[in-house]
Amino acid sequence: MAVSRVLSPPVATGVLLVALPLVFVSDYAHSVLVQFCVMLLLLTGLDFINGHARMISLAQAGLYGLGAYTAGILSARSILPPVLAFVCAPLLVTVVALLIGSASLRLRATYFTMATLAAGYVLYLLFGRLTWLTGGPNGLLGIPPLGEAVSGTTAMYVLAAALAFLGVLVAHNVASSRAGRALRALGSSEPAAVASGVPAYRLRLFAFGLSGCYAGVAGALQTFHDTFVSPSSFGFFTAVLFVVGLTVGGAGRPTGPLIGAALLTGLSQLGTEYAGFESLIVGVVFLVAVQAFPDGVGGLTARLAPRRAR
Amino acid sequence: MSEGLVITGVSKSFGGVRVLNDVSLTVRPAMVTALIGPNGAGKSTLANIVSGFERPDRGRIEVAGRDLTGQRPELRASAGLARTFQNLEIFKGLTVLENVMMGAYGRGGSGLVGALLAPPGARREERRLRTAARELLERFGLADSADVPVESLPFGQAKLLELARVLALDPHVVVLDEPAAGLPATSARMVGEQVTRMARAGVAVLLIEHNMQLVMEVSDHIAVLDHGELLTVGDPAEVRADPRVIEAYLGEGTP
Repeated sequence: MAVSRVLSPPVATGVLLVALPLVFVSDYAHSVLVQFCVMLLLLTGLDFINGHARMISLAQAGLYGLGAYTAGILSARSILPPVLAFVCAPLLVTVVALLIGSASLRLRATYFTMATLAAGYVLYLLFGRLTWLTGGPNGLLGIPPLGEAVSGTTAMYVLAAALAFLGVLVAHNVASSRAGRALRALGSSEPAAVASGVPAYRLRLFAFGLSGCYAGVAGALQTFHDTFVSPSSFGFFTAVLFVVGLTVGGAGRPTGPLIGAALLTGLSQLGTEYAGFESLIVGVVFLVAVQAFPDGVGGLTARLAPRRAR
Repeated sequence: MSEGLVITGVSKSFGGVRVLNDVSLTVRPAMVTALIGPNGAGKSTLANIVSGFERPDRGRIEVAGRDLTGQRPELRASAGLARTFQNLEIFKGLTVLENVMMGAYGRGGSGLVGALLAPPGARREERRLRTAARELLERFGLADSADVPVESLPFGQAKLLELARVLALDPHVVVLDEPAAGLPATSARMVGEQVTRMARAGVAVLLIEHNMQLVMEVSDHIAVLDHGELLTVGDPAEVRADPRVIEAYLGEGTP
């Protein structure tokens, strides 16, 4: 019990988020760490569906893009002050996620995955095609910084770290709540869960909306960090990358999103050095990982040690 | 007002094949009513209709005096109806204790906002649930396994766990779909003891079971279903002596 409490996801995340920027002090390192926080939010959100409910969603990349573009468009076109644009992004993405969820969550396994793939891809196409709104394939320019207080990479990191920590904390609350337990029960045996009184559809919709909210926060963070958005970051490859990252990290495992986010951040660094080989690297890593750790890296501790102290 | 489970005139067809024909059956509180019949007689279909997983073409389902016909299954749980399934349906990835706690879901508790914020009220409720589930596990002799992953339980204990989970709902009516299927005699006897005990506590138990020894031991009434028709309802001695039952189900070799 003592060990698992020390290693509880919020504590582990908090320690990492405070320690890392003190060890790696350069601006470049802090920029990479912002990336890590964005990934952590994305995978923590995705884990509600892919980990707890055990349904595979491929919509997270599109929802992430929607968050990024919402924050970008609202602020670049001076429709809202940057801070309000930042707040609006997760709200809008949550609403869109609820719409996508209501259309797809009654479908079974593979069909649900295909529906989320389609929804995510439609969003991706819109980012590229609605040139008058999004700037098209060349991207959206003229995004202002978030504010006086949050200019500079380190300040951006502090915001990103705070939001990532909050995200992990809320996810931890959900996972250890009555609803979170019911979500995992649904993922394991839907008939028995429903017979115990679990409203399957409502609970899954809640999870999907929540995953959208996380994607919206991640997107807004990314936008104000880069002050630039282009469609290429939200396509099919990204969608698959999130699923692979979470699976290798350990879907549904307490530290799965954390490990997955670290892997994806590392991978994106490799990707910049070996441009063009990214998908090859991802493929090899995934193949090796699923053979070596069938429950993900985050599931390794559970397999090696006796699962819980009595 | 009638207590327990009242099934009135239930009929069901699948693609023109009549699976249940005008079945009426009352399961009284504090009684075990067994439902027996050959494979394909419609027993599991009846269990699914009672618990709301399938809709009857005609007929009515009442639990503790409430008409639940057409009600969704998760709402039937809230009305005090619990069930198990023919195949083992446990929540893998959860501990044994959490599996039992899940059984109480239909009794209500903190909602989705509580899930996000984990307020003190939700934590207190969680502790109460935990304590109640632990007591149930003791009663089923599973307390030592409370914190292990449920998938590590041997089959016999997992079948017992399903009974504990059903009781976590504090149900009026319990439908057990072959709780002793695949169990060796000693484990089947333990299941029998627990079934008797839950009935003594006032629960109306509908027991679907092929293990005739178990059925004869624990049942107050036995209903025989054959080709979707209720052949007879009576106490174990009557049913055992009924020639139609012997022909349809028990067979000549059965004592």
